[in-house]
Amino acid sequence: MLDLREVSVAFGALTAVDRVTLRVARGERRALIGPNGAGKSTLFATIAGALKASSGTISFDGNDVTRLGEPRRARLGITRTFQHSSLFDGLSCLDNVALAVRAERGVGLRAWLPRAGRADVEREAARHLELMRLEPHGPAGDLPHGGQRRLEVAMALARKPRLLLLDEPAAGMSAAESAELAALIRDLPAELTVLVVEHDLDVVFAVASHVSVLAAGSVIADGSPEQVRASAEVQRAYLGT
Amino acid sequence: MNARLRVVVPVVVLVALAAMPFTLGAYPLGVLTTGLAYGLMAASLAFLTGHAGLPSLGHAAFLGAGAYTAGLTAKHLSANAGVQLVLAVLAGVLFALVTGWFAVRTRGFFFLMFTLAIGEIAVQAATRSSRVTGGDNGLADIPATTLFGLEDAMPYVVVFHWWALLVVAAGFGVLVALRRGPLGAAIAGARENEARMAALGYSVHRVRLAAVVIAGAVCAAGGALIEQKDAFVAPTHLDVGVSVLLLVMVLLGGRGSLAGPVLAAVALIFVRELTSSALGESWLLVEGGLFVLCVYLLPQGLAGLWRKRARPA
Repeated sequence: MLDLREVSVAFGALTAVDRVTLRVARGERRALIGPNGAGKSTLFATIAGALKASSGTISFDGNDVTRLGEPRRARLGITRTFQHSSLFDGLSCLDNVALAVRAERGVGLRAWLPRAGRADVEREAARHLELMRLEPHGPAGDLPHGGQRRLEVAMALARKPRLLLLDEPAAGMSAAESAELAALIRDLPAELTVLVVEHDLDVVFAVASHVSVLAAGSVIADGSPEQVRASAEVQRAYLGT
Repeated sequence: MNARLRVVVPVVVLVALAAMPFTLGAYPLGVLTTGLAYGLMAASLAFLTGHAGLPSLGHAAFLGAGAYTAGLTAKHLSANAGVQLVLAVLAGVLFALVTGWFAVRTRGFFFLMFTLAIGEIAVQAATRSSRVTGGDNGLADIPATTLFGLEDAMPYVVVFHWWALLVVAAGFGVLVALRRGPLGAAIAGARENEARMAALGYSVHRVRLAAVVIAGAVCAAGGALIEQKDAFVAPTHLDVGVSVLLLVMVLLGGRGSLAGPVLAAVALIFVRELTSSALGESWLLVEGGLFVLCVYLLPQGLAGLWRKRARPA
């Protein structure tokens, strides 16, 4: 599904991601963990296409996407959420999600939609909001933190991705909210591939079928949650025990 | 505004404007017609500045593209107002595509400077290519535009007022409809959050270019009216002062609105007529004074132009 080969990302002399090779199979729930500054977010942005790999190749579904820009990759089925909520603050929650729904249906740049099409888009957007227990009206910028995080996820899911990239979805959430989010990720359709960066290890071990550990720009361990938890190298680099 | 008012108010306004020839003399009617044409151009700039978040200091270049195209069409091709309008709008689209392709790759302050340069280049182009445009003296000896034969039955100023009203209403309707549609929502999205738009699969440059093309095409239609009304166009029509005037109309009218700038434009054109006959060039002091007032009185003054602000689309 997603195949990274020897991907490096350098900013001048600083190599943020160093020859990462990563394979994620269809339907897999892969967590990416690692200490701060390990390059997780950089790697994420590179997979999404917001940053360009300095070397190496990224293929998605057998297509080489290394040179494609972010919008093109989004249209191929890669959608990400942002570590810091990145919403259309001035637009209503419904309008936020409607932009995702219209993009998914390929009508995002139409000058005009017939009444039936409009109603259909709004119904679909409202359904995604309801899944996340969000109200359609009121500007997204006025939502409390937890609500903004949920709107992030609602927008990404409304885009109907085949590969969903979640960048610290539980950041700043209460324990109860995190648990709820973890349950929601577990319940996503089985054919959806999910790659999640997360600091909250409860969430990681609740949702992940595989875990990769990133430290100083490189993958230092790979395996099932149990294997990773037991690995001495990981404990030294990350778990701090 | 509730749904019924949203239909009733525009109809009442349109009927009242169409009835103006029965109450106004030829001179004030002509000023109103000019005011409406500037109103359409101000609305197109409000679409670009407020809705797309792209403040421009060179919008008069589109006025020029439309006005010169209409004038040249009248001189060399056709006296028909409709033909001139269509070609003027096409010229606006073309000009928007060429300049917009570069402009949308800049942001905020740099977009402002880029459009200022475009406006200056347009003035120079109109001045220097004197064999085609008449240079500094402007495009003169333009034959009067025919208005589908109606001008033979009624006074020209009256028929032209109706023609202008039709074009302004249509252009305004296009802006309102596009703002409400999916593309309009995408343009608002690109204003609010580029990174998210890209993550959703929208090409932000393309969305912005669409906004520039829409605004440019509508403004060119207004420019064609300016030329048709007086059968004259000169480089002073697209001077940076005109771009600033349009921007003042937008700020005065409220850049989040489309109707507000039209109202402000009609009012400012009347003020210009009244004061410039008495004050000459010093009417600019009046414009400047109004500008200062609106910057002080409107919380979203110039400083808000290149700052993203939360507001309902």
